[in-house]
Amino acid sequence: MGKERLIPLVAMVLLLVGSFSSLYVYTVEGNISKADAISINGHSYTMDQIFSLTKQRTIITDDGNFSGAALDDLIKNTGVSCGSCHTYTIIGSDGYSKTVKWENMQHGVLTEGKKVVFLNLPKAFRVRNVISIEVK
Amino acid sequence: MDKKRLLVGVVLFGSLWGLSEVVLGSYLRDSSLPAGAIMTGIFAVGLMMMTRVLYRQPGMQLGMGLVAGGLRLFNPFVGCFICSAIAIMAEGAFFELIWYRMSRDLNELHKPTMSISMGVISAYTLYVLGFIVTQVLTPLLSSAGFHFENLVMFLPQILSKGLFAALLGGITVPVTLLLKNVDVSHVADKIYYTASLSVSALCWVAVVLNTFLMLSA
Repeated sequence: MGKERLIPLVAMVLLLVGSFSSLYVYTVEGNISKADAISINGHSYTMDQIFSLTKQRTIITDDGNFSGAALDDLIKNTGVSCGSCHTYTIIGSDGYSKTVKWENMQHGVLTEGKKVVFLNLPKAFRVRNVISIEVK
Repeated sequence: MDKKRLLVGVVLFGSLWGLSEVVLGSYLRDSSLPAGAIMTGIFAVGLMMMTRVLYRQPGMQLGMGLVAGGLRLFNPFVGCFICSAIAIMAEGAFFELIWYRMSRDLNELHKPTMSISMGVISAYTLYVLGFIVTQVLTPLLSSAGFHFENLVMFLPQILSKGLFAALLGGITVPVTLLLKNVDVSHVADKIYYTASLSVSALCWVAVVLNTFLMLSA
């Protein structure tokens, strides 16, 4: 197949991949509950419950201060006895997820805006609109 | 064209790309605009394509990626700057691979279908692969480590976000081809070197100043 046929064909395939992915993402995000609850280790907690269960923490980063529920305390108070025995996958409503260690959780907060921020990790580890924290 | 001219061209366009990533990229991110897609679809593809059209010399874009990535290292304030720098360098390498089979005079692109298609392919591939490189490198260089399932879960989002970059690339490449009749080899040495090196120096000074301003803020 010559370049004149192959190149437009490849471009078309890439556009289709992008379009179908957008459709998939839109459908999946549309199906996610907008409820004010986060699943932690398989159990559902409202933000009010989370903030009443845990102590508050403020972390100071390059781009400002972030206050919220201390992640390590949250994990302890939701029934995980050995924090350092597990890793933790934090999942956002858009499918963005990051797996972190206990030492990271000890320097992390869940803000009222449902955003997870860590003191000792790059910004790429910030997960917005958290829907689940899985304990592994 | 002699190698000295090409090298200065690499430094000039690489510096412009680096400056745009540092200053404009940060501004777009802060404004909650699709910074990655805009930076790749317009600036990365546009500037690399510009050198391809003006100098007709493969290999320059890899050098531009190295210069732009190097400049990015001087602005350690947005996310994992080492990862961003490596991602920019990787974009230069991926561009070279995509355009490897194209002729130097780009005569294959005389039809709009071809130039638009190459723009779509370049921008989409650079965006998706650049994003993946960052998503792999950032955790690898952090205390949390890389987890493959995190990347797989977010892959549909990456493929989806690349669509906007692809559409921008489909416009950028045909527009850049308007420069096809410009011949930089006819620009007098004195003007070429003075202008190129001055603009490059300004880009580096602007980034370093930006760094000091952020440090003192």
